Amino acid sequence: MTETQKRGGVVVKHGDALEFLPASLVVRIATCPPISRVPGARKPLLGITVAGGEIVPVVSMDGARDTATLVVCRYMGEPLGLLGCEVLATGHFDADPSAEGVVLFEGKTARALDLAATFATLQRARWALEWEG
Amino acid sequence: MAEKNRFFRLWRRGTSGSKGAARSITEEGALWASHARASEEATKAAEAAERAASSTAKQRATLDAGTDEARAVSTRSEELQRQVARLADAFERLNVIALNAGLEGARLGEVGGKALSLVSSEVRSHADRGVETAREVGRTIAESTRELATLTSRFDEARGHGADITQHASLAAASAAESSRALADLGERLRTATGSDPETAQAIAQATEHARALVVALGALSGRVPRALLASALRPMLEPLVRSLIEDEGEDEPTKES
Repeated sequence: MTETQKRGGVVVKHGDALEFLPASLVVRIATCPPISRVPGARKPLLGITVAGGEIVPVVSMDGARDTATLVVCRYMGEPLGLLGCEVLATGHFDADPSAEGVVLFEGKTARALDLAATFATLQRARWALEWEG
Repeated sequence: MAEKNRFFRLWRRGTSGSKGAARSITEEGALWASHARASEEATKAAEAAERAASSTAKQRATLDAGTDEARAVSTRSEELQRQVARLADAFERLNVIALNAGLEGARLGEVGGKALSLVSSEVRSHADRGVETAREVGRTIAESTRELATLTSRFDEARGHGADITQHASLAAASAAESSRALADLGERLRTATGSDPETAQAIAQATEHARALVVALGALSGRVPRALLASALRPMLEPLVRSLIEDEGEDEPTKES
């Protein structure tokens, strides 16, 4: 009998889909503090905020619903705040054996949130800001 | 003496053979009776208007107190709503803390973080219920505040109606007072026109009734009792009266001519 593998992290609702963020990438979940807008910043960059004593760029997720909870992640050593995801649960979730990085939450599959793509979008926005600025 | 003469003069008008004169004195009596009734009703109307104004003033005071209380409750409801909002916010923060505890549990690994994850999950479920309940209470309070606002506006409306009633009561009181004055004036004019007053008119009406009754009684005795016996029995009482009437008629003649 094979034991189901568990994965620790955060399940969020993004639009109508469920997504999973591994615990290694998530720093904290916070009630959204005030966001300071950055002149020339483009979507999805909303601005910057201070969370846990460091400055965090805040990115708006597409199809955002909940704008009260901020999920602070760290990707490639850089902090990144995700706004608009509805945090459904934190803890250990059964890993879906058929797909890499996918977990099961209340009978539904939650695929891994593509933080790399989000980070790349943020970087593009940042470069655009620097070029135009 | 003059008063007595006036009475007899008026009474004679009532008892004289002329049907017109008799009707006239009866009409005068009825006129005075109507005047008295009208005066009484005008007084009652004035008193009723005064009572209505007084009751409306009391009602207005009650409504004012009710409105003040409703406003105070409304203010307290708003404060309560703010407190409930703070409560909901505290539960939401507790929820976030529980999520972070779950995240820490996830970081500790499946075995090490299990207890933390379980506590986190339990706290979250309670915090969620707390948020939901606080929001429900907030909605109920908001609804009650709206109903209170409606109640206050109804009170204001009732106060407006009360003010209208007070105004109408004042008008009614003024009209009743004016009616009383007009009736007093009418009474004076009636007194001048007829030469009588309510008391005299009533006394004459009664005397006329008695005189008629006497005539009827005498008619019934006619032929059954000797005339001489009847005359001797009635003379002591009727002679002064007849003399008085004859004297009065004699005095009355020049007045008639003038």
